Amino acid sequence: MVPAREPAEPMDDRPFEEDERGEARFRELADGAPVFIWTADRDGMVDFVNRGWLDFTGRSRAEELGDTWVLGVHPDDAEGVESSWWRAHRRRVPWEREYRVRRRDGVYRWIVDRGAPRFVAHELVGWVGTATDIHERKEMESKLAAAAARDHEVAETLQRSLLPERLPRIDGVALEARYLPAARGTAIGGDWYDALELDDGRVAVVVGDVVGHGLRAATMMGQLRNAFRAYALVESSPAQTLTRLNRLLGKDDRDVMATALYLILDRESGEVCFSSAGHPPALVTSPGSARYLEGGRSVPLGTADVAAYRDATDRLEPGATLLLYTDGLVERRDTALDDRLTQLRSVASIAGGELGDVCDQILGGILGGASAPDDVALLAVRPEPAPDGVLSMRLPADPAALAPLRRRLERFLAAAGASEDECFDITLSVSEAAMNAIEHAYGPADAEFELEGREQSGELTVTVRDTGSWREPRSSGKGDRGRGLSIMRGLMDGVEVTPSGRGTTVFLRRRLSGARLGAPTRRPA
Amino acid sequence: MSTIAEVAVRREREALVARLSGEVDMTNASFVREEITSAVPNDVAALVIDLSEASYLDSAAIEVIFELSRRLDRRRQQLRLVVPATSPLRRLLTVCDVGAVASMHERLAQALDAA
Repeated sequence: MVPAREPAEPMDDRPFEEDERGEARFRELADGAPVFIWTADRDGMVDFVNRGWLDFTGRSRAEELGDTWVLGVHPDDAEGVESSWWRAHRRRVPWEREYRVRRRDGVYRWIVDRGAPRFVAHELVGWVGTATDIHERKEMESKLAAAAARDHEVAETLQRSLLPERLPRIDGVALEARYLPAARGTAIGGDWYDALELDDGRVAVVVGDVVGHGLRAATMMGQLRNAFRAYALVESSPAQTLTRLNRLLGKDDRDVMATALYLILDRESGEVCFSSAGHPPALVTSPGSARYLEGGRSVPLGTADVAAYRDATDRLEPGATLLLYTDGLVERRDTALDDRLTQLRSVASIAGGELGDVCDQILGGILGGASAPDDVALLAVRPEPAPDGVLSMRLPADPAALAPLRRRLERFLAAAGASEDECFDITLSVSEAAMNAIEHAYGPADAEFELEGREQSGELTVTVRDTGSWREPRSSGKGDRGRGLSIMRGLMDGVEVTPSGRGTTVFLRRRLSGARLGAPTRRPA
Repeated sequence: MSTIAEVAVRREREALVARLSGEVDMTNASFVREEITSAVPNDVAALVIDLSEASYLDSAAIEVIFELSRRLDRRRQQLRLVVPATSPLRRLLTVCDVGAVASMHERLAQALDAA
């Protein structure tokens, strides 16, 4: 460290080319100024600091002169301050730096320090500089930066929270979804997708896109998603649900537009019923082929007060995969939509394997590894029905599971050729066994039970197995379960109840008189 | 509630007729019990539960019928059921021996005429 020079060094080092009276006048003025003022000589050594600076740092003038002033700079800033200062000095260019310096009370404060070179006949004769305490401004800036970072985080969290973290596990249907945010990192899309099991045992899937970006679009998307879930549970057709959503958007002059494709799938038969509000069509892929689901199209939600939404129906080929997506996948400014749809179809027709692989192959094939200019949501659905003549269900141990169970069982029995009476007897008996399972599983919130039905050469067998902990039937005397057992025994040809340490298994057997006679159309093998 | 039942009650001569339509299972049995129980006045001779439009009953619904019959019995009121000849409910009611506490009729008119 070079020791500080004495302030009263030879006069050729003095800041201004003036006489001593002039310099004394400068120092007097500088000492009274509300800013910090300093001067340096032609070698870059500080030869003057004003009173304000000394009051601020609490150090002696001797400590501040020469090049030891850097000792007061915050250790994290010192190196950068020093090197930038000497660089400016070598190049003889103005210097400006924001850094922290220790105040007399030991607290580091932010200052902005500016130095201007002084020349006489193109020769550097020294520097004059000013410094200002900008601590409050810096604090505000860092608070604003933190707030901005929080905003970004809020937006990201919101986006993630509005999409289902994981799709529900729905028995007999494989589901996979992908969501790619737009290339513009902070742009939040209004894309959404969802899947839920309806009370009638069918599966509802939806993909939608709120027009616009940002928090508003994301918030609207969240509202639409919730409204969709509510309406889907009470309305039996996609068009009715879309009509309700459209009416909701028309309220309060919300000025929001959204496209949506809503599809209801019967996982046993492969039948689909769907309706589109200005949304690109769903794609059905089977190994080696792909086709769009045509029909059921109408205007986007929020574009007309009274919009007519239509249902269309179709039937998925066994093993087919259904793809729903948002327009980010097929819309590019440089390519016509039709061409992009054709491209998507050909990419999808050669995609295969596990459902997740199909999603990745399609995204890779269409986007080619590049990030999309708009958000992309992709939802892949593949019914995985049990083989013909077999019904396999895993249900939550909740009384609310009973109605969907009955609907699915009735469809299975009708397909197996059971008469209406047989259908009633079997459905009732299986429900009684299910109620037994639901009561046994009482306790753990996520308990489930399994049901497997088989129809073979005119005989129907159903096994209901609960995996919950065994609970002694309540002996309070109402005898519900006892009545359930007598109903099963009265209506079935055979009933076996096998309790074990891990739960209870109920086995039911019933001969079908009219089996294979007049059976409704079964899905083509 | 995913299992839906409706109860429509009306006074018909000396009886209260409760027309039950839809499905009754353990999720809505207590609703049905309350609807019917609260509708039966003291001065009727009988409660007629019309099951012509009921498509499904389970053991919880059967329990409701037994419970109603016990209440009515205390008030010296009769319980009559209308169950069409072709209804699959007949086998259920028979298996549960509901006939021991209620008379069964194929048509409403017969149930009203019974004494």
